[in-house]
Amino acid sequence: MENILTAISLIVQPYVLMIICISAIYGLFVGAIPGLTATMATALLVPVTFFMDPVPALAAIVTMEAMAIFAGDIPGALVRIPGTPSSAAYVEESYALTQKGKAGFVLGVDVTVAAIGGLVGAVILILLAPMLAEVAMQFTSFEYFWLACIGLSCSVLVTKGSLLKGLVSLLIGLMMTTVGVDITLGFPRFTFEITDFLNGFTFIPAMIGMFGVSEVMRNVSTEDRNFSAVAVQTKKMFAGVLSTVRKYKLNVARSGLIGTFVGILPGAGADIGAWIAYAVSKKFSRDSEKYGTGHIEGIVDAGTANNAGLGGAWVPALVFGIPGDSITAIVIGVLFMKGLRPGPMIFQQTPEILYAVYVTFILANLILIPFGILAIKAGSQMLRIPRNMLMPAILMFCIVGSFAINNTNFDVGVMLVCGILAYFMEVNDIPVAPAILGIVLGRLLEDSFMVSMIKSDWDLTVFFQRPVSSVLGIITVILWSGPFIAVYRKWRKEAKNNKRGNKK
Amino acid sequence: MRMSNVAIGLLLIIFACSVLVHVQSFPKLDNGYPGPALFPEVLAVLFILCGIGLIIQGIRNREKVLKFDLGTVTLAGWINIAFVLGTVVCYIFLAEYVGFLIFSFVVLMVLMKWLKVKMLPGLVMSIAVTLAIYLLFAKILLVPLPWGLWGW
Repeated sequence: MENILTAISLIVQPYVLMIICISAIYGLFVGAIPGLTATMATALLVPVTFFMDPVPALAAIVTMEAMAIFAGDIPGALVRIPGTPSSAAYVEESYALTQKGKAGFVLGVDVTVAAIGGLVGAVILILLAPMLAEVAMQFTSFEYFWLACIGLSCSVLVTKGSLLKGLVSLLIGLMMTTVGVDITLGFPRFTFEITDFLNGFTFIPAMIGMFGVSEVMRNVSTEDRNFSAVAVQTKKMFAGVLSTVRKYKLNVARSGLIGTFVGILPGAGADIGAWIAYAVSKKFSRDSEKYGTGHIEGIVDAGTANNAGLGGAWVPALVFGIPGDSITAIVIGVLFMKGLRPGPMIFQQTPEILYAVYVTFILANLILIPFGILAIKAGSQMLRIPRNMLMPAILMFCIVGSFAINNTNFDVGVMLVCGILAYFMEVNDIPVAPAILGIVLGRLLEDSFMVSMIKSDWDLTVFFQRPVSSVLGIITVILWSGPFIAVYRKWRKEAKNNKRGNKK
Repeated sequence: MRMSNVAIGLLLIIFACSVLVHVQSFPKLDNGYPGPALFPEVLAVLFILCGIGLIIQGIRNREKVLKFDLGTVTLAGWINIAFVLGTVVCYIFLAEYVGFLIFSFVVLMVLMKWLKVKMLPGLVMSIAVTLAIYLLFAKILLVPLPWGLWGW
C-alpha cells in the first residue's frame, strides 16, 4: 500500500503528467498513420527516454503503446488499412460497418473496449506479477538458462509462416550478441580490431535500424497512396456503444483473458492476441455467419484482446526479464543499459518502478477514452498528411536518435546495417520478432550456461538436478520436440495416403 | 529483393562455415574445455542445419535454384531506398564538416523534393523538423550534435 502511494506520488507530478500527455499524443499519431507501428514508435522514443529517470521513461512507453494500439483501429475503419499490425484482424469488419455509415459507432466501440481490455491486462499484470516473482526469487543460473530457452523457443513457435525461417531469425539475433568481449576469458570475438565493437552491437541503434530505418525503406519503396478518408460523424458517437458493450460483456471478459495470456507468451504480442480472439469469437458466436459483413461482435473481441495483450507482455518482462513482445524487448534492452536488471530483484530493490508501471497502465487506459475521442475527430485529417513528407523526418529522427546514445557515428553505421538486414529479412518472409528476442536474451543464455558449466565443472546433468530447473528443462524439451513430432506425423500421413493411392 | 529458399540456405551455410573457421583461432579454457568459441560454434551448426532444411524445402517445392528478383518493388522504389540509405551514409561522412543544422535542412529538402512533396510544405516541414530535433536533442537532452566547420 505504501508503495502504491509512493508510485502515485511519483506519477502525479507536473513533469511526469506532461510526459504522459505528450507520449499519448505521439502514440495516437503514430498508431493512426498506416505504415508506422507501435514498435517503431518505441524504438524512436527510446533515445529520448534514455536520458530520463526510469519512472517517467517507463510511463512514456506504457502510455504510448496503449494509445498506439487503439489508434491503429482508426485508419482500419476509415480507409481499410490497419494503422498497426494489431488491428489487422478486424479491418474488413470495421470497414464494412463504415460503409454502412457507422464509422463513429465502430470507433466508439473500439475506444471503449480498448480501454476495458487495457484495464483487464493491467489488473492481471498487477495480480500475477508479484506471485510469479515469489517463485522467481529462488531461481539460479540454471533456471534462468531454461527460462531463456523457453522464451526463445516460444518466440519461434508463435511465428506466422515457416518455423524454419523463425529459427533462422532467432539465430541471427543470437549471433549478433556474440560480437564483443566474451564472459569466460574476456576474449574479443568478431570485433575485427574495431574498438567500438568491444561492447558488441549497440542495442538502441540496432533497434532503431530494425524498426525505424527498415520501415522507412519499405514505405518509400511503394507508391504514396492518397487516402480519401471518410469524415467521422462524432456527434452522438457513443449512442448505442455502451449497450453494445454490455450486450457482449462476456466476449469482453473472454477476450481480455485471451489477449493477456497470449501477451504473456514470449514473442506473441497484441497482434496475435487479436487474431486468436477474433477466431474464438467467430467460433462460439451465435451469429457466426454475419462475420466479415460488418458485425460488431468480432470487433469487440479483437479490440479488447489487443490492448489486453500489452499488460500481459509486461508480466514475463518484469518478473523474469523475458520480453513478452517486441516493445517490452526494447524496454528490457534499455533497462539493461541503464544497469537495471528486470527480474525478481526489482520487486525488492526498486518496487517504486514496478508500481509506477502499474499506476501508469491504469492511468493510460483511463485517459485513453478522452484522448481517443480527440484522435477519432482528427482521424481523417491525420490520414491526409502525405506519407512522403513524414518519411524524411522519421529518417532524420532515426539518425540523430542513434547518434545520441554514445555520440558516435559508429552507432549510426550499426543502425544502417541493422536496417538493411531487417528489410531483407522481412522481404524474404523471415520474421524480425524472434531476432529481437535473440538479441535481448542471447547474453543471458550464453552467460548463464557458461557460468553454470564452470561452476559444475562441465557436468551437464546439473541442469536437471534442481527440481524447478528440471521441470523447466522438461518443458523446453517438450517445446523443442513439438515441431519434430508434427513433421513426423505429417510424414506418416503422407506415407499412408501414398500407400492407399498405390493400392487403388 | 526476394531470394529463393535455396539461395538463402546456401548463404546461411557459407556464413556459418566462415564463422566455424574463424572461431578455431579463439583461445580455450585452461583444462581444454571449450570457451569463447562454444556459443558461436553451436549457432553456426544450427545455421547449417537450417540452411539444409531451407534447401530441402526449396527443392521439394520445385523452386528455381537461384532466383533473385526485385519483388513487387519498382525501379523507382529501389532508387528511393538508395536515396534513404545514401542519406545515412552522408551523415556518417559529412555531418561533422557541414554541421547538423545545415546538413539536416539540406538533406530533408532534397529527400522531400525527390519524394515529390510540394515545395512549400516541404520547406516548412524541413525547417520545423530540423529545429525540433535541434531543440529536443541539443538543447533539452544536451547531445553534442556535430557543429561543423562554420559552427552551425
